[in-house]
Amino acid sequence: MNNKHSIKKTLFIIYLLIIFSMLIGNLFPYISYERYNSVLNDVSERVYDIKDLIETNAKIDVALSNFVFSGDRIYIDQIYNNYQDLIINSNKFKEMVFDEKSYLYLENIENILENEYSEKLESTIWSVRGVDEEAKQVNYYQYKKVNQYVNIYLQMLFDRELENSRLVKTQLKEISDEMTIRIAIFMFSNLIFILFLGLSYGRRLSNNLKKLTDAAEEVSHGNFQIEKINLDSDDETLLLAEAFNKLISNTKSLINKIKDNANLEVKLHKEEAEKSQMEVLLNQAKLKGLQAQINPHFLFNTLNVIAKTAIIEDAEDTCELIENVSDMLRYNLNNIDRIITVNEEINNIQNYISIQKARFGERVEFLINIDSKFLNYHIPLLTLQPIIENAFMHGVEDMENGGEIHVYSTQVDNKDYLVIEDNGVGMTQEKAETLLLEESTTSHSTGIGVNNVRKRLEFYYNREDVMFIKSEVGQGTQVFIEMIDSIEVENV
Amino acid sequence: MKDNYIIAIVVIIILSGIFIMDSLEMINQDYSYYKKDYTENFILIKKESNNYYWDAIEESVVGNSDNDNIAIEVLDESKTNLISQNELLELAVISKPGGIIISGFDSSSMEENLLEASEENIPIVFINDEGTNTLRDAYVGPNNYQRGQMAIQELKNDNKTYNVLIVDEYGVEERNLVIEGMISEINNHENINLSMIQASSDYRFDLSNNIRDVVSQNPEINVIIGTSIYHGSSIAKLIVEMNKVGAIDIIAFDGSMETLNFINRGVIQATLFTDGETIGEEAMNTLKTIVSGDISLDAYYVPTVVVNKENVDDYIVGEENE
Repeated sequence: MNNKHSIKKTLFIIYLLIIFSMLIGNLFPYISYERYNSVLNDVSERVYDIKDLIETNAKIDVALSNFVFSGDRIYIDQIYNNYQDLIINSNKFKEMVFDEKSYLYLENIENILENEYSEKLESTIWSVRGVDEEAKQVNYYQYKKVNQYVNIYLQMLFDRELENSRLVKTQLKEISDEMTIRIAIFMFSNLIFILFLGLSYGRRLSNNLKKLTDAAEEVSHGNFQIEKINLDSDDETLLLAEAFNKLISNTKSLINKIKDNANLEVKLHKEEAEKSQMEVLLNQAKLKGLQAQINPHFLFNTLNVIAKTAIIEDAEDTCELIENVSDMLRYNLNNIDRIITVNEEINNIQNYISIQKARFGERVEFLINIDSKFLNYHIPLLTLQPIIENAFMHGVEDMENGGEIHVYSTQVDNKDYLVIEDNGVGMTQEKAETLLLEESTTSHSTGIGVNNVRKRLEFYYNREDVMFIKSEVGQGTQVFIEMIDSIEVENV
Repeated sequence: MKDNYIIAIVVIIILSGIFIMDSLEMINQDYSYYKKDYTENFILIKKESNNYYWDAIEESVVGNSDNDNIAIEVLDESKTNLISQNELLELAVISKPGGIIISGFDSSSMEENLLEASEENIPIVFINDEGTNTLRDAYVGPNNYQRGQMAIQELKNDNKTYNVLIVDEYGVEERNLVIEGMISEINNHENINLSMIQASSDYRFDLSNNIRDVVSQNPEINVIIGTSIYHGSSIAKLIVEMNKVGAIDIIAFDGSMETLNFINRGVIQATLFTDGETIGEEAMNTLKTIVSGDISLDAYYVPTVVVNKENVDDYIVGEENE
């Protein structure tokens, strides 16, 4: 698995964060409790320490009283020992106070103990050893006063430490309360953050899965035209999406390939069908041709004999006519699937026109006006003749005079055309369009109909719509045959 | 997405870090022991605890010590159970502080402690009472003689005869300066007579009874002047109780709210007082000057404020704002 953040890993991180937060949140109350406990113990101990100082001072007082009234020297050690303890402990305690006031009290105590207290204590002890009762009394009461002053400071220190203790407790309570709030805020904010993270991740995961399931549903309904799935993720869903996209892409490509093959097959079938149809047409034309060439050599020889006879009889026109018929027949008897130049076809038409001239005389005028560039263009044999024959037979035949058949080149919509135009009776446009499709109509001289011409042209050009007819009843007919350069035809 | 995780983890770690550091700092906040950080320690001996005047002095003294590394220790009856100012002074002197601020009192009883303080080079500044003939080093407070004169000057109606009863703390020499001032001023007015000087040593308990008796036995008394900060309101209550308001004028010597309210009601005619804050401030300045070795004034007089019916509203507003 290459993705850096698998779902398992992400969930593990979220769980880890929760555990971490809980751990911190639970650890701190314990740490703070331990710390508070230690501080409270310390504060309590200090109060007891001061109590000990007060008791020590009281012990000195008791011991001195006992000494003054009993004179027993056994109390002197107690006095000095307790005095030393008092000095040592108060000095020691001075280093352990929390605030200035306590320190001041202890400094005062220290000053009194080392000066007035010590002096009065000494003078009282010495006066007890003497005999002056009054001095003993005065010194003792002076000592008592100083002892009282020390006691006052010790009591003030005690009160101060109690107050400090209370302040510390209050402070600790406040800290504890604040700590509780802090922990609550910390845990709450962390949990909210983690929850937000979890929900955000869950929503994204859910969205990604929804995209995948939606896409899968579309595909299950056969719709492979879906957009590529893009996921904002780097976990398993991304892998799934990439695999899905690849699957769709492969399937689409396979389908397209099958479609292309099918189209190719259809095209081949069509081409084959067209080819076979063309073969049928050619066969038909060949059959017609064969029917016409019962004995062409006999017919040509006969026509030559007639032509020579006509010359002998000075019938030059007849001779020319016969020669034209002979040439036309020779041309028509060519292999029907031959491709010839427009010029060749025009030459053949000239023969045909000469024959028709003999028939129609001045009733019909025939004009050829073709751009010389088209003369070398190639077209199937007998492309123009059937059309021109139709123009004669169905267009201008019945006209008493003024009949006109015009063959010319032109351009329509940037395409080159040869136009066979007559000013004959014309026909409806429907009829004209039907003419292109009808197979029954044929020309007299060639037996080839307009439909046959169109199909052969289309087959040769390998294109459709290469021929169309414009006609109107009483307004003549125009047959347009598209001219395509031979080179272009070869490329096609 | 991967960046989001990193951000999330970093944020949680930062939050946790801040929480841990902050909490540890809070848990381990400074419970360490005090280290001496003062160069001098002065003792202020308050004559009264829980009293607005002495509280103002204490606040001012403590406030003016902060910037000079001076530690202030306050001794009073409530802390020590010592009623006598002399005992408090004795306690202060044997503690060997850098200086002492104390209300002046009977010089004869305190002479021994003042002498010992002088021997120990402990400067002593009197406040409130001048102690002119004592071994104190300086005085900061009102000009008591002048204050006595000002009290009599408040009796303004020249057409009326005033028979004055002066109530004074027993045996306080400095009060005598006030009384001397009063007497000298009384002598300047023909319509003002001194009927009696009533000593009131235990003014908080026996004052009312003493005054009641004196007033009953001396019906000509129509002015009572109380020279202590406790006298004014106590006498006013008594006069109200005796239904003598208007018949007996009262001159007080304190600036308590109670006294100001009695002035506002017309029970007390006027009061003369000095600002405790100024006294505390100047006492500290004087003590610092002496400790530093410079020469200070022997007496620094803090101006006396006179409040009567005409200006009492200004002071009541001021007190209420405080």
